[in-house]
Parts: sequence; structure tokens; C-alpha cells
Amino acid sequence: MALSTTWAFLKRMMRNPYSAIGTVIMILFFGWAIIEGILRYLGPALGFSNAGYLLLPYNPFSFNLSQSLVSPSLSHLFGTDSLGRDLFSRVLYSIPIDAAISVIVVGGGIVVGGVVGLTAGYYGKGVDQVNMRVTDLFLAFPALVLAMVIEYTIGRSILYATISLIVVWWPVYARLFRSEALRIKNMRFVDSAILSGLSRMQVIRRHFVRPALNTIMSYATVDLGNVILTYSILSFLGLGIPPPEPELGSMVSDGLSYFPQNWWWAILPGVVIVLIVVGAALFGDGVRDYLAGE
Amino acid sequence: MVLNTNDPILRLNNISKSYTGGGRRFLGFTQGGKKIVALEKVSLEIMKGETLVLLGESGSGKTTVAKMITGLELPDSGEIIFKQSKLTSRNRNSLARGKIQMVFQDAASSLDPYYTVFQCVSEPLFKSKDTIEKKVDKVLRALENVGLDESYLERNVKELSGGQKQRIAIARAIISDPDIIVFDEATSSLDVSIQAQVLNILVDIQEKYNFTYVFITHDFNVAKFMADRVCIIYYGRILEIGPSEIVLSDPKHPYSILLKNASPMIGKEYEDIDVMSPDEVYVGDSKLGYCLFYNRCRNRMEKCLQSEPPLFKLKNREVACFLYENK
Amino acid sequence: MERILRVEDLNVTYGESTRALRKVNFDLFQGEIVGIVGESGSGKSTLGLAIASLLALNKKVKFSGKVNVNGVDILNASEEQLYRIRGTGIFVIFQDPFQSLDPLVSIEDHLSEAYAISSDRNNVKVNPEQIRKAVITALKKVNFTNPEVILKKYPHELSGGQNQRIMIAMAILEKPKLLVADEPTTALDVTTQAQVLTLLKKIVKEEDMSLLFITHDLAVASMLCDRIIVLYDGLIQEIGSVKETISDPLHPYTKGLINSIPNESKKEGRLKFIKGMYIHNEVIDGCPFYPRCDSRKDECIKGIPSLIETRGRKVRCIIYGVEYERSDTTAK
Repeated sequence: MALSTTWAFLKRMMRNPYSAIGTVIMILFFGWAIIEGILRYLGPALGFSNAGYLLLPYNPFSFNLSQSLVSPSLSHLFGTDSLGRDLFSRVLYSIPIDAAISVIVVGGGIVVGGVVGLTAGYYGKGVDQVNMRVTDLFLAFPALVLAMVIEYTIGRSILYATISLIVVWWPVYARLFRSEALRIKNMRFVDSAILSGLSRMQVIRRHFVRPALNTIMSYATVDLGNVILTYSILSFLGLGIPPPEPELGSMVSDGLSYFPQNWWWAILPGVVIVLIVVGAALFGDGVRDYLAGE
Repeated sequence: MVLNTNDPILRLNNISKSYTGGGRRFLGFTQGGKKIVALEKVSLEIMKGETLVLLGESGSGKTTVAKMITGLELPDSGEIIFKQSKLTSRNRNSLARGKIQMVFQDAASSLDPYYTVFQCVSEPLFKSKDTIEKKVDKVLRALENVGLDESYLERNVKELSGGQKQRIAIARAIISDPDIIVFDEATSSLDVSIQAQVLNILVDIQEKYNFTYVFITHDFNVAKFMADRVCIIYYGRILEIGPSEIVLSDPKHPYSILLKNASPMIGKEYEDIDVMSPDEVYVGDSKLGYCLFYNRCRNRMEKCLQSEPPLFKLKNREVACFLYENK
Repeated sequence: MERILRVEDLNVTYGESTRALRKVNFDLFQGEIVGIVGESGSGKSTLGLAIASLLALNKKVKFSGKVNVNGVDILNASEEQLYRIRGTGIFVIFQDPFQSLDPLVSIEDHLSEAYAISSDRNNVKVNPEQIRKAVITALKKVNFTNPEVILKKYPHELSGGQNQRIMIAMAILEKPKLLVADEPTTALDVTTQAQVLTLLKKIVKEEDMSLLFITHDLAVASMLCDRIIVLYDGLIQEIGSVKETISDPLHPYTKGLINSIPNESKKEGRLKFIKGMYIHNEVIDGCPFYPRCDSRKDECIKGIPSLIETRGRKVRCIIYGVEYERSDTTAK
């Protein structure tokens, strides 16, 4: 059942060239993230300490000063940086973290925003006022600035970066979920459920979450790209993972000092970011059409 | 406590309810806005095992009555007595939930589109400690009562037709063995040929389990088929109430008569239709203190403008019209 | 009697395979009220759109056949010809008057425009005074007791029934030969419906128009129409005068439809109903009503029965003679 739905979904996505491109990019992105992630974090547990480097052309951390600042070629697809590290390997190595952050931030935004928005929309009145004014408070600050302030205050690490992104990410979802709740509240099946004796929380859990998620799904897929973009900006500004861990954003910022002579260092990781964002947007559009057609 | 057939299972005592429409919203508070009276001092009794039909047009307040009976909303004033205890916002969950069920007009939105038929129908049993097998058994019995077989159990409700959805909604309503089932225009969006099937099912299961129905409709013919007692309402007021054989075959209130004449019947011609325009028909403002049907009434008198007619008792029925004041 | 409308071999499909109408043939004469009766999926609304010349707006629709109104084949007419015939040749009243009337245009402007168009096409010069007079007469004809007040209003200030009467007043001013009403009273209360229908009948007879009345409600059709056409799954099942069709329906579907309307109390027994349900686009070789029919035989699915004449009426059922449509005409 699940398999055939997935297959039908993929077939549908392939019908439109744009959503097909988006789907391919997303499959490559997440597929790679999962494979590399498993190797990197499960390998050491099984006794293969270097499993994370297995599929990479070069070790992303090893210096090779004789090969520094080599322009892109077949042996170094994206060229190398000033320390002679292979940029392609570093890009590949950074992807699992980006993928994880995007999923965690969007997921966290959906959970927090869902709770706040659904209760606001369903209970209405005072709950609505309190929830939505708090939401407005968060929305009033530019997301990036707020995330920077939070991270600057609590410290610099990947965990804090993720937390600060969730903090700025949920208000949009709260608004989306609230409008969904207002729509679903008028559905007769909600009245039926109340008449059957379900408590309010049970009604929300059983009858609001699925329909609301269904509508919000396409926005959430597009949003994956936005998270990656914002996270890359944070790391560009030096608020991502501390070096020497590779990061798309920090690679761009490091490469900028060698621009334009050694253009590949800044440009190619940037292109990867753009590809992922565009891929997510195209994929999200496809998902929306698919859900609408259903 | 055992209820006799003669005891009302539910009683509405002087229920009034109004809504505020329009107005400006500021910081979540509504200012101004027009008060619209949905129900004005309505009293009703629902007897065990009977079908009470509420017959009325749009704006009559019949859906508001349904909301009062089911406890989905509470009245502004007056009281609702369910099995001899007063229904309040505190006790309605323990007292009435699961015991008063409702079937809605809009089949498309009355079932959660992400549920299977089994999940839908079994939801009212969520509190019971039945094993899954027992629940399946109960669901199957309910489905059988509405003419559906076990092949429907795992089907998704969104792939069903309107008539099938309405049957599922009925199965769901009867599974918890409720004291009252309220049908709010439950068959009016169905094709006639499907409506006939559903109406038959309703009558059959009522005979089988002695259910109490409150059946809300605008359709005179459907009312005639379903009703034991009928209550004709107009802009939140009861105009005529009594046994259906008497009221529907020989209506007394001028509005009831108009309703009968205006109802399409096969092979009949429209007769006695006032082509007079209801241009100035009252649109539920507030208490006006006169008969609300005055503008459209052909028997109107001076008196009708001075006060609102109360329900006058006739032999078998009650009529809210001064024509029957001294009879 | 002058023939106003002739529909010939009309086939309509949506997309590649969703059938809507199959081989529809009928005539409508001057002064006549013909009811098209069908339940959901019967194709009655598609028929309305075809006659209102609105089918071609939907790019996915495929159609063949002819719809002749006053000698113009509107299915294949040019935009210019259609422009000349819309309003003054065919006037359409839809279910929801709020969508037909412009919310930003007053009732007076709606009606004046209608009258101006019709006088323009008849090459009659009119001055504002004449227009106003005509408009007020029309409003009086549709039973507005105070036309001057109504003129100043906007559609949203009037009720559904009043707006539908404004539509009828517009029809009076445009003087079309053919009036098409697609479920005009379905959204109205029964008392308002009775008023609008009584009025519609009176106006059609007085102004000497013809009316094609599309409805799902056989009872309503029986009270208004002279002739009835029963549609099922895009096929005409029965055509006959109202009196005969109601008192002695020929087709099992018509019989079932009449019996399904509640008439007695439940104490007098259950309703007679049509078993099963209509399944949209179901593949049936032969009579589409076969799965639900009580008097079905093996012959029913050997082909689609022809619409045959019997007792001066037309019916598509093999009970009255085993004849089939040629297979090439049974478009998918």
C-alpha cells in the first residue's frame, strides 16, 4: 500500500518537467544525506572509524599544501581550497548536517506552530488572543536577526543554531495552522466527534492534525530549502559549526577572500545551495499539485 | 430511572438564543453589530420513541434548535432538561455526550476524509473497553442496519458517494445506542431515488430499536413520511405543533397552509399561491411585539400588530395565531 | 407551431472519456415549457450549457451534433453570431442569481442595459424616459409592489428570490424567444420557489416565450411544464407530455423516480425506491439503467436501446420494442 502510493506519487511528479527536476534534486540531496549520515555515525559504532570518508573522493579534512588552490578538474571536481582540501568532498561531507537541520527545524516549527496554532484556532477567544499575540511578537523581528541574537547570546554550536532557527521558524507555522483550524472547525465531523464525547484535545488530535498537515505539507517542503538558505547565511556569518567542520555557508565566506582569482571556492558551494533551494521549491510545487489532485 | 413512553426524554423550556452579526472587531472584541434572534421562547418536548419533525424554511431557527438539543451550544435563557436533569456546560459532557447524536446535511464534511469507514463508525465507542473484535462486531451490525456489508470496513470515506456517506453517518450515530438522534436536513442533498432508500432505512432501524428521532427538514413530503409529531417554525417561533396526520393534512396556521400549498407535489398545480411579494419580510431583527407572519398573511387583523400571538391550544394541536384564540 | 430549438445528435464528453451527453435529440416549440429532469450525473447541466452556448468555453469539452436556435447552429456559430443571439435570442437564468448579477451595478442599471440592448438590436431608438418606463413595467410584471425603491438597490441588498425575479424582469426586457432556466429555484425556500415558478409560468405564457426548465425535481417539473424529458447517464430515457408521463410513466426509471417521492406517511408502508446507485462513468454495454432496473432482461445489455415511439411518446426501453442504437452513434 505505502509502496504503491509512493510509486504513484513519483510517477505523478515525473509528469511535469519542473516537479521532476525538483524531485530528482531532493532525492539526490536526501538520499546522499542518509547514506553518508549512516556511514558516518553508524560506522564508528561498528568498528569502522573512517566509514564516513568511504564514499568521498578525498578526506575532507586532510591538508595537502602541494595541491592548494587547484582549479576544478576531473580529479578535483570543485577544485581545492588554500589548504589543499578537496572542496567537492567537503561539500558532500556537509550535506547530511544541512539535511538534518532542515528537517529538524521544519519539523520543530510544525510541532510548536501546530500546538500553538491549532489550539488558538480551535479554542478561539482568549486562547486565540494570547497565542497569536505571542506569535506576532516573534514575527515582528526579522528571522535572521533574531536567530543571530539568540545564537550570539547562548553560544555558538550546531545545537544552538538549530534551536535558534526553530525559535524563529515556528510563528509562520502557527499562523498557517490557525487558519487551517478555523477551516476545519466548521466541518461537521468535528461536531460529530464532540457529540460522541471526545474531549477537546482528543478532537484536535484525531481530527485536526491530519487535514491541517495535508494542507501545510507543500509549504513545508518548500520551506526545507528556506531553512538551508538561512542556516547557510548563519554559517556564512560564522554562526554555524566551528571549523574545521565543512559548511556550505562558511565555505562561501572563506572563499570570498580568494575571489575572483580562485572563484570556484566561493561560487561552487554557493551553486549547491541555490540548487537545493530551487529543488525544494520545485518539489514543493509538485507536492501541492499532487495533494490538490488527490 | 425508567422512562415511560409518556415521559418526555428531553424538554426545551422557554429557550431563547440570539447571535450577533456584523460589527467591528478590534483586538478580538466585537463592537456594535446586529443582534439576530434565532429562537424566541421556544418550548418543546421530545417523547421516547417518537419522530418529531421540525418543519421550516431557511432562517426559521431549526438548526439552532438542533444545536440546543444536542448541547453543541447553550441557550441564552431557558433550560434544557435531558432525562430530568438540566443540561449545563459543566455536565453536558458526562450527561449527554454519546447519548444524543446528530446526522448532518452535508455528507462531504460530516465524515473525516482521512478516516476509514471502521474508524468513523467506531469513534463513538472510543471510551468503551470492548476488545477490537467486539468493536468490529458492533460496527458490522451497525453497517448491516444501514444496508452496507463488511467490504466497506476498510474503505476510505472520501471515496464513497453522497448516499453511502450518509449511511455511514447514520451507522455512526446509532452505534452508541443513543437516546435521541437529530437529523439536520440529512437527506436533502441526496437524489430522490437515494433519499427514498435512506428514509426507509431510518424508519426500519427506528422500528427495530425504538430510537427517538428529531428530524429537521424543509420538505413537506419528507415531513409527511417521517413524522409522528410535527412542529412548524418560522423565524425562531413555533407557529403550529401537533400530530402529523392532523397538522399536515389540515394545517391551521396561515403559514402552515402556505407551506402546504407551496410544496411541490407530483401531478398537482400550484394553487392559492400569493404572488404577493414578501418584499418586506421580517429578517430576524429583535422582539418586535407583533406576529412575524403579518406581512405575508392574508388573514391579518388589527390585533396581529398589537401583540405577538401565543400558542393557543386547540383539540389536538397548538397554533400561534389569533384566528384560533377562542376555539 | 414554430420550432424554436432543435437539438440533433448532441454528444458531449469531458476530457477523453468522461461522457456527459449521448445522442440527445429533441425539439422545443414556440410557447412551450419543456422540463429536463435528471438526477446528479444525468448530464442535465451540460445540456443547459450547450444550449446557452457556453460549452466551448471549457477547452476540455469535446462535442458533436447540432443545437439550432432560430435557425442558428450555436455549437458551430461564430462569436459574432453568438453575440447577436445571446440575451435577445436565448436568455439564461442560473441557479445562483448572485453570480449572474454584477454586485457593483444597481438593479436599475442592470434592467436599463437589458432594455437598451434589445431595442438596439431591433433598431429602435429609445430615450431614457422610455427605458425607465419599460423597466418599471417589467418590475411590476414580476410583482414588485414598489419598483422605484427596488431600482435603487444593489443585488446584495435583495434576497435570492427577489434577485431571481430581477432575472425574470431582465428576460422580459430582452424579449428572447428561448428562455433557459437551470435549476432556478433550487437554492430558494419552498414558498419563494412557488412564487417564482408561478410567476415564471405566467410570464412565459404572457410574453410568448419558450422555456427550457432544467431541474432535478420531478415534482417541480410536473407542476410547471407541458412536456418532460427524462435524462439518465446522458441519454434521453423518455419524452412525453407531463400528464401522460406522470400518470402512466413508460420507462422503469421514470416510474422509480415518481415512486421515490414521499407521498404517504411511514405508517402506510415504506417508500418504493430504485435500488443501487448511479455510478459515474461506469462501463455498461447497453442500457445504463440496467444495474438498477427491476424489469431488466438479457436483451437490455445487447446494445443501447433506441428511443422508440410508442403511444405518441418516446421511450428508450426494450419493453416497448427491441431496437438498438447503431454502435457508431454511441459515443463514449
